[in-house]
Amino acid sequence: MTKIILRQLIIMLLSLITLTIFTFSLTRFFPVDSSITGNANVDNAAHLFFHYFDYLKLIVSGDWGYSRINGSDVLKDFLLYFPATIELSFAALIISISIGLPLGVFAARHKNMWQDKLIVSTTLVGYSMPIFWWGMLLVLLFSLTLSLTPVASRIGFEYDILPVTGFMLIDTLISNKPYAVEAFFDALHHLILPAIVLGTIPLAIFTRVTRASMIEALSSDYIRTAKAKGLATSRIIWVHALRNAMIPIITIIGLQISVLITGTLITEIIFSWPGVGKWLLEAVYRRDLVTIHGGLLAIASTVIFINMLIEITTYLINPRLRLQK
Amino acid sequence: MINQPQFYRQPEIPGTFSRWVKSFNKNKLAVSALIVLLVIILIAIFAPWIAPYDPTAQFEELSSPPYWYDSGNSKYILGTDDLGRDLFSRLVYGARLSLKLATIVVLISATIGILLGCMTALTNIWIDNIILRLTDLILALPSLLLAIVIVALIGPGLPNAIYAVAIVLIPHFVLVSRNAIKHELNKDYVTATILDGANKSRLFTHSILPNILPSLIVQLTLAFSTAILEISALGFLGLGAQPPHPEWGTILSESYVYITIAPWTVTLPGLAIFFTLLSINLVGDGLRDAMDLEK
Repeated sequence: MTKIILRQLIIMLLSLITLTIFTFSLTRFFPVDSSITGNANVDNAAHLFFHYFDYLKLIVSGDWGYSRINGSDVLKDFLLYFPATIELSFAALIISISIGLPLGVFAARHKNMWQDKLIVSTTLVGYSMPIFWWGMLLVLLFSLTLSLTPVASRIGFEYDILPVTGFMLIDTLISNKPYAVEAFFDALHHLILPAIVLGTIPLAIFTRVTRASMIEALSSDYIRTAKAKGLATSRIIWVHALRNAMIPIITIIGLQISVLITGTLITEIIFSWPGVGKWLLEAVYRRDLVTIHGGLLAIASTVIFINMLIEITTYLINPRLRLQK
Repeated sequence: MINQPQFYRQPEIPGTFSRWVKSFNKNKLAVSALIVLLVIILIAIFAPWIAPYDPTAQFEELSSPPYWYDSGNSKYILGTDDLGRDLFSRLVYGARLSLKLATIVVLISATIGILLGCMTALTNIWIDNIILRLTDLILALPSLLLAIVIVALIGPGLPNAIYAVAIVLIPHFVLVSRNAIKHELNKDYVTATILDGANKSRLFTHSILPNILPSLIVQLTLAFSTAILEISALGFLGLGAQPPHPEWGTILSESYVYITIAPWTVTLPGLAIFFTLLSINLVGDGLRDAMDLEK
């Protein structure tokens, strides 16, 4: 148990070290900032080694340099924009899981029938969808033609909400404004379309994986035993089969984190969502290398950290792995 | 000949390739996707003969809708964009550009990736471990983010975007070819060949290579669709092909501003990307099933 967690921690540390070596070499090859690179002309390999430790010290102490464009602290900027991205990704994840899981189970129950074929081909359509076009189409349909959803941003301009946690849904509720509840629903209203756009590809993947994993689970012996015992079909499906089918699904959920982050880069541009993706892309347009460096480091270490959490979770929920000596 | 009694005719034993073709042909969806893909490839090859106009030529009719609109003009069957350029010609040339770029990207990354993969699988355990850790790390990172960072460092534009996407795709090839080789190396027929006295290069070319070909082919189709998607995504973000180029993603990013005035300049280029990706993915799925690959 502790051994496995320790092992995962060491793997994460190694990945982080590799990552920092990579970002460090970026600061060497490209003129990032003297505040990070320090004294520039170091040719000696040994000096380079110590230089890397200085760099690590700065990164760990939270000094990630200042943006070249507006002089603001890169780490503070990142932490300012990150909650918006988490909120969007989390909403997309919830949408895709809550639709994809039942859909996959349904397809598995009707294996090789027309319902299953329809769902499988629809997932392939969703999987091939270029997300930037999909976002535009939905804006065209729901926002511009049907006027159901707002076109952009996180909340209507008539609401004045102070960022406390950075999560708009929480901030609106804890603000002591008379319109707190209305503002909450307005924020939810703004969130729904970007979340659907972002959640489409994960939704397709979850459905496919759930279907495959459920088909495998449903064909195993313990399901036959459960049927022979005369258990209700719903209990067999949702309790006996799904619990065992969940293990590959959770692994896939972990892998979707990087799909979601790729998606937020584009979704945030389409919906003017003030998150990390938009912040990073603006830095790219202005060639603000300090911000790019910080953004890459922050996003990559987040992904590495989440991957470690997922690894530990799959280990904890899988008794076959947990009880292994 | 005649007086030799023939008890039964030896049935023709189908070769591996013809078995694949037979099994692929059973999948109606994949076959139709292949036909669509072939049509797109033909359009791309014969773009100068199919496109009625030059993709960058500007005409007086600005934002003229496609011909099925009431105000449409049959001179421009898919309408014109905000600068009066014929959208049909731009999309046809866009197919040429997108497929060409994706082919270059896949060629670069497949060559480097497969070579690296073979090297790691067949050399000692230390190099294998190091390269495996590195590919794991790169694969954990969002590929578009990495491509964006690379483009940001070496500057936006077409050749740089190609390099960025190619670099991002290399680890996939490394991992797939390495795992396939490692998987084959454990099998008995490889041991038998080694016992027969085959040297390393013969072992590789005659025993291993034919057996890892299916995984490589599937990976190639996957990489092809990823390359098209990422190049158009970079184009959409303004980091890939620059505006006069008729690249599908670039057309989309140019026309997004005019989504309310000229919605066809948004829907049609996206449709082109979508159908290309869908047909490639369907063909890839069909190939995977036909070649009996476990995913």
